[in-house]
Amino acid sequence: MRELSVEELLAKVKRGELGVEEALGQLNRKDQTPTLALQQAKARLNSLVGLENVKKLVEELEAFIVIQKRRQQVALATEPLVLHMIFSGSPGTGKTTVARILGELFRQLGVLPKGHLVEVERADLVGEYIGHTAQKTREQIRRALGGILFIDEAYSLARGGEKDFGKEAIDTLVKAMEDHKDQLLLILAGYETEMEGFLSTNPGLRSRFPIQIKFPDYTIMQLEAIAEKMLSEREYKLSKDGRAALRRQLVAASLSGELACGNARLVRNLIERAIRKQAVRLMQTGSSSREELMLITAGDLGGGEGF
Amino acid sequence: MRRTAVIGRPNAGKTAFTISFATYLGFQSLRFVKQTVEGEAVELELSQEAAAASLVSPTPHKTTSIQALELECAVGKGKRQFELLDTCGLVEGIHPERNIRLAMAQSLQLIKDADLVLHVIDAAAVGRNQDSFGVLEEELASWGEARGNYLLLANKMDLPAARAGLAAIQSFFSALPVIATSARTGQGFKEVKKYVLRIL
Ligand SMILES: Nc1nc2c(ncn2[C@@H]2O[C@H](COP(=O)(O)OP(=O)(O)O)[C@@H](O)[C@H]2O)c(=O)[nH]1
Ligand SMILES: [Mg+2]
Repeated sequence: MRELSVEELLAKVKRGELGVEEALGQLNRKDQTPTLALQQAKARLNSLVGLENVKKLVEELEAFIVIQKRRQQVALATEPLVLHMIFSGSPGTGKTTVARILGELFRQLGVLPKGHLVEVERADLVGEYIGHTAQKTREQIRRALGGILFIDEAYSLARGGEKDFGKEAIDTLVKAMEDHKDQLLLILAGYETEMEGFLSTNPGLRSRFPIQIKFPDYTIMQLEAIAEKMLSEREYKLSKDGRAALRRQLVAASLSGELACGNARLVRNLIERAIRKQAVRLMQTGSSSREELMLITAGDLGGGEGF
Repeated sequence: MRRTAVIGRPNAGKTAFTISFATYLGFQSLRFVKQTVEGEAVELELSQEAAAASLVSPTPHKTTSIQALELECAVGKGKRQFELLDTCGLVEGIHPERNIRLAMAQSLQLIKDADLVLHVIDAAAVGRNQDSFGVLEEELASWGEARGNYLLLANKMDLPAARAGLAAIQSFFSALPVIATSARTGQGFKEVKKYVLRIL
């Protein structure tokens, strides 16, 4: 069995799945050695629905890092560890979640000292006058030192053409990648096509980001699994007709193209709305058995107003 | 601010100890900040008598949220401030009431995070029933040994049965410091104060 984090242990106590003394026992036996923390981070990655290519790549990266370290120990030549990455995929496909787990993983593997994630977008990096951009960008880099700087919709830095301050941000980032080689991991994220365009107009960049990961849109079945996971984390569950209604909604969203722009995020909105509607329904009917308090029905999910 | 958590089984005298100890340190009126399990902070100012009357209770699980008291001690010419946190009593097994489960989880979190833990035990109850230690005490003992800054208070020493209880506590928790106290008479408070000041 995988080891639970303190938060997970406490959550189990709250839900009534674990006694206080059992939680304490697990805390007592919790070995804080890095290898266990590493296993935990990997377990979190592997518990994500889908993303098989990401999981496989992380496995490879881990092996690579471990072996390079062993080679170093016996004074063999080592490959430079350049781990800057490009994440391409639609919103809601798990890019940020994976980035956060990677930070922890790399910290445990000794690649990053802190492994935290700083998530930024154009507005956090680009300023309004000459010199302002470099200053803003450097500030974000400073925050991210020791961890990961995750730039969402990175191509928007190239939006305004030659005169745009976005270019200054890119230059500052490239310089930081040189200056803080062992302190900073950069991830550029965004839609696949836009990212391709961005990299092909900035050929110098592509070579600096040797790892490229694609985050495909989730299938309807995967989104259903994600919905069930989200619900059970919140101590709700779908009734049988609720499950069918969820599927109908997902199919409709997929046909209208909405699904591809939101993926798991859409599912989360859907679930959260259903939870609100369930509350209203239960207030009206006045019933509140434990079972009813947990069940999300077709009616809660329906309503026909889309997402 | 440095935090001292007062923990233990229900009815051990945690709340009584918290209030009398604050009074011993010279506080006439006590400003509690209750951190409810819903995450709200509610302030409540009571005289020592009113606090004792409304918060201390012979029925277990009277305290279902963390009740924090900001205290200060004179040290030489200066003052040392710290927080004393009364918590929900811990019991083994899965409690049927969600509110109490949430509050016990809150206590656990504090056991982990506090700078100092005061584990209050009803020494009189132990004296009457030598088997009163369970898995909970075993786990708390090993947690306390591993983390350090963990002090046992053998409470209710004013009661006759507590003598035998104190001996049992000392032998069960042999690796941890034990101070004999009474929330009723103030026995042991001087030593507790010394211990607290040494650590905080
Ligand atoms: N004789 C005696 N009774 C005490 C002492 N401390 C607490 N009590 C009593 O034990 C009961 C539980 O006290 P309380 O502080 O509410 O316990 P808590 O559940 O641990 O907070 C109450 O009836 C108190 O009056 C003590 O030192 N001596
Ligand atoms: Mg109490």
